[in-house]
Amino acid sequence: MASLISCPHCGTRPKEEFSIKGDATRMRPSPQAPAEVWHKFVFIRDNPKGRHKEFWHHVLGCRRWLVVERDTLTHEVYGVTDAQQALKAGEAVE
Amino acid sequence: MNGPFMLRHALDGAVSANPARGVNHVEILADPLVISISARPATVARVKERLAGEEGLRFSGPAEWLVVAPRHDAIRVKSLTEAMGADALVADQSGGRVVLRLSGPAARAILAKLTPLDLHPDVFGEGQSANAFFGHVGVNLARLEGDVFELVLMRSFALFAFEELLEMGLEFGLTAGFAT
Repeated sequence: MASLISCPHCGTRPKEEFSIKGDATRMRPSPQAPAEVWHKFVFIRDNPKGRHKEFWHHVLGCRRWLVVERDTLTHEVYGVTDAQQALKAGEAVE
Repeated sequence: MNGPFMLRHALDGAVSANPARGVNHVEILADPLVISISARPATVARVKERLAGEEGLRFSGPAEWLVVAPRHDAIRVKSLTEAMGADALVADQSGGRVVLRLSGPAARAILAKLTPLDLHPDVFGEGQSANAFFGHVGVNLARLEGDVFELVLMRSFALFAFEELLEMGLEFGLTAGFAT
């Protein structure tokens, strides 16, 4: 239990309590969008090295969606916000 | 042990009928009350205010609480539902949860092997509660007093978690039995 995430609701917890959903910076296409757009959204994903924003679900804690900004290489965590607040502030899309 | 599934406790048959009671003991509540209360985003503050001072209140999330008591009480479910009105969803979860009470001088040492929560009294004091990782499942853990902890588990995970707890308590002579 080495990697720690500071949940804004629960405090510092190990990564085992979370489930990672993925990129928090991609805009979800509209349901009517053509198949190519959806294909791109679902399957064509970058695998960034370095600072990145991701959705994390605190499954075994408060069960809230969080936006975690971290370094994918060193796992240095820069910030954790509730996804709802991040969406309101325009820091995450989807 | 016999009878319809719904009326059976999830841990029936997991402990001896006449258990010995050591200093470190885990008590299974036979018929506890577990109510879950979820507020709507717009009513969180109001619900929080109304719940302040409620006995057996446990924190479960930023807009979610549990109310736990040793005995099931349908009247309390009804009165809480009425008190919350349209501000929060009140659901009787008693049948879906198992409540354990772990007590004894080694309680903290046993829990430390199962959960990442910092249980030092300065950090996790009396009356405090949290949802956390426990073995491989989720638990709502509360400190009732000094060495007494309460665990609220999902019914279907209860046997696994209970057996895990007993194993971790082996070195401390942990005993277990239904509350009398």
